[in-house]
Amino acid sequence: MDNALEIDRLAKSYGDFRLRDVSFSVPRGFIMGLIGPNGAGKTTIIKLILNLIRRDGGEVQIFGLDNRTREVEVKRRIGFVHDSPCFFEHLTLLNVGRTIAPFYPDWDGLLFERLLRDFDLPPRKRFAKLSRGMKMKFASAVAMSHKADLLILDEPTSGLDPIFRRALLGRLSAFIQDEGKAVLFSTHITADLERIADFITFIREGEVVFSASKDEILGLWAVVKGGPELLAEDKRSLFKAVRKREFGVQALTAKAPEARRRLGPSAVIEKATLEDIMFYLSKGNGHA
Amino acid sequence: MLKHILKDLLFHRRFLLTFGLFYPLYIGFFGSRLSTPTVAAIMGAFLYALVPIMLFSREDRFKSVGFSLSLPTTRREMLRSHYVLSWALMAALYLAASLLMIVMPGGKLGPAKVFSLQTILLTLATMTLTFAALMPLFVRFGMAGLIVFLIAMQVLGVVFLLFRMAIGRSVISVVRALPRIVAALLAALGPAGAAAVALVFILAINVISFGISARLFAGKEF
Repeated sequence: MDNALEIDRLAKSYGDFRLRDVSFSVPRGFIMGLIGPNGAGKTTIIKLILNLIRRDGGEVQIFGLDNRTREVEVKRRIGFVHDSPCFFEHLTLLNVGRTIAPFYPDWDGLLFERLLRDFDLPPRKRFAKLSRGMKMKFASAVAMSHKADLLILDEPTSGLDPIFRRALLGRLSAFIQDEGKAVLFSTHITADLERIADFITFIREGEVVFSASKDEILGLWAVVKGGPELLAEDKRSLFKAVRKREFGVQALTAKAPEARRRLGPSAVIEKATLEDIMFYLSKGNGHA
Repeated sequence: MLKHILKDLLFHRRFLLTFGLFYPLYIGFFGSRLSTPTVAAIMGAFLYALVPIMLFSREDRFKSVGFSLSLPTTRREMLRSHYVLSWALMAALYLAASLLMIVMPGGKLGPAKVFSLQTILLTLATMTLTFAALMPLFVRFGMAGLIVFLIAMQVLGVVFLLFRMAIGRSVISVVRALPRIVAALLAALGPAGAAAVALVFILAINVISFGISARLFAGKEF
């Protein structure tokens, strides 16, 4: 498969935090969701892709180009939405667009103005005066105005009202209809990913727990509910995480078909949502 | 590089208008009251060198450097544009202040003194040394670097005082010797030779400063 983004054994340490051998790829024509608890390393990965921080090891290739040696070419093809957008605070939205435009040979001023209208953003308002949600909308408009081939979005839907959230997700789905394009989307709002993502990468404590297609994940992962017999030695190997509750045991498995076969009617097996997976696999929630 | 400069001019236009008026007026007025341009040249050069640093510190304040670096550019290109814009600004401020020194009512300085080669070289040398020392500090430590520099100047004052107590000779006399050094250079090399030496000196100091800044900027994380 032709990849828009390829990350290979990426490593970075600072203070107590270590990003270890992170590898995953985003194929062209698809949306990859990056999930994980706070401090897992999602933003660090995105900053490493954009060279905002220096990596200790590994490689990042975007459309086959190294992100350090071909930095300018690579960044021309990326549309980026930061989790807390920092543009030039005192400029109006139109002027921010004017300062950015010369950096992108494919900047489309008309598209930019149309996106401002579509997103209900007042062009003559100063960036500093926008609410957080409006800032995210504006950052999305900028990211989409230079005909990027890869959109990298760090928590783009946080702070957005549900109506615009849906509209943005719709735009992202439309964006990848051109099969040369791709999206990397980091978020805590897993419902958004269930709606639009094709692939999911789960990061925990600086390591990739899994990176696979969403359908595969939702087909294989399940929440198992049953009595204390689930804790028996021969069954424990089925589970990635186990939580003892007042009225029984709840566990997360990545082997749903095998669990159904082996546990039979003695347990209730429900499809896991991405939120379930994130919850069970997060530190302190009984991950095995 | 031009796109960075245009971006910075648009972003900082109010700041530039304010300081672009205030500093030349201040130095122009102050200098016009003096009978020799030396003190105004040194003081002015120091202030002009602070303006670009203050300008770029606004990016620190608005945390917009990270955003600028996410644009299709390299850190080296961004830094190069900062150096070029800084020199353009310093030169413009210097020129404006010098002209004001001459035209200010009641002024004691004529064009011959304000634009003498000795004054020009002295201003450029002071401006170069201040800016070249400040820029790497600023790149590495941001606004804190500027504060460290100003504190270091105070500490240096104390060191100079101790130096005087120790050897019985004021460092001020060394600073005062600077115009004499420039004058001696002029006398020995002639105007063209002195100007050439000064230009090489300015260029070399700036290249060294840029090299240090580039290394520091390359390792910085946003």
